[in-house]
Amino acid sequence: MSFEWPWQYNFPPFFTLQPNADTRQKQLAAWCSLVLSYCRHQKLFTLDVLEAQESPVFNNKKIERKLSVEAIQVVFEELRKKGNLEWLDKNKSRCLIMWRRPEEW
Amino acid sequence: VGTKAGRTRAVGIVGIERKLEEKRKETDKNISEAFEDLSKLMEKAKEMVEVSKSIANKIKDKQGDITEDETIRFKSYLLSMGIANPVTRETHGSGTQYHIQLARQLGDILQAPLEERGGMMALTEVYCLVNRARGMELLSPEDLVNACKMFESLKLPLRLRVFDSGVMVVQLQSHSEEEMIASALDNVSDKGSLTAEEFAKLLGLSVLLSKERLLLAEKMGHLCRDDSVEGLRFYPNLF
Repeated sequence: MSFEWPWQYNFPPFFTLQPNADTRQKQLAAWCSLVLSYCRHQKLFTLDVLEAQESPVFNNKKIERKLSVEAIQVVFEELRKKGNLEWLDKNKSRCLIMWRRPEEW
Repeated sequence: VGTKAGRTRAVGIVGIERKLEEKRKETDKNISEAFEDLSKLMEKAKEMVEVSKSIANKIKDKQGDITEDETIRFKSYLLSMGIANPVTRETHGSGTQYHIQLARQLGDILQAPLEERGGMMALTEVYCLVNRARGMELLSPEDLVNACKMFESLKLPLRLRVFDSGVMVVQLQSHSEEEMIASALDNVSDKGSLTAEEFAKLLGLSVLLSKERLLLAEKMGHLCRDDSVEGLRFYPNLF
């Protein structure tokens, strides 16, 4: 079963954090759902911020765009606020990804 | 013959030396005179500054918000001396007579060039245009900005507009923002995506203004950006 990428994944602006607040909100929402569905598909439970940048989720080789580390952190922070992510260390370099929130289990 | 020739030579050299000495003294005198005059002039100006300050204080006591004739005259005094004193001046008369007249004149001059350029010009461009046309009695940058600030209150068909980036432009009153943003969106959609340079080439605008347009359209949520090593590109906002 191959993973189906959302349309945003091939849209270059998806890989630049948008300055417009409304646009950014929609962008982050799309990122969150992409990260969750990707981890679920690949059966990933933990992510390392630096390693994640090289993984296909945040690095689209086809259109040569990569999400910056700062932007990845913003996405992760957004996931944490939603309750889908927990940091494993204080430096925020590794995290636990939960496809479902603890209360949904 | 030998002694005679020697004597005349000696006289000649002394003569030349004497002449040089005289010339040096002359220039010395000129220079010191010039400086003396200058310092005298400055002293006079200093008095003027002091007097004008005390007048400014007196006006402060009155605190009127109508443009009184007195304060208008006072402002032209200050302007002719080169003392810009906006802090105390701002509340006493909204500008100067000179700037009002200048604004009216600019309104006439700029109408045609603005229409040619799609209704908007950067202030630096306006400055070049106006001063190049004048040749003499040029405008200072400050005068131009101050005059442009009067457009609105004089009900002239022009506006001074400051973008978020601090870039100032003069635009026609009739110039419609929504139309501009809509046309920017159309252009970008046509091409898929555009950088400010490409957009400028397409419209025949300056890069500075085309960038401001794209940024404005982004701010309104019509465009989004793709910032990479290839440059800053703008896409229609599909989010």
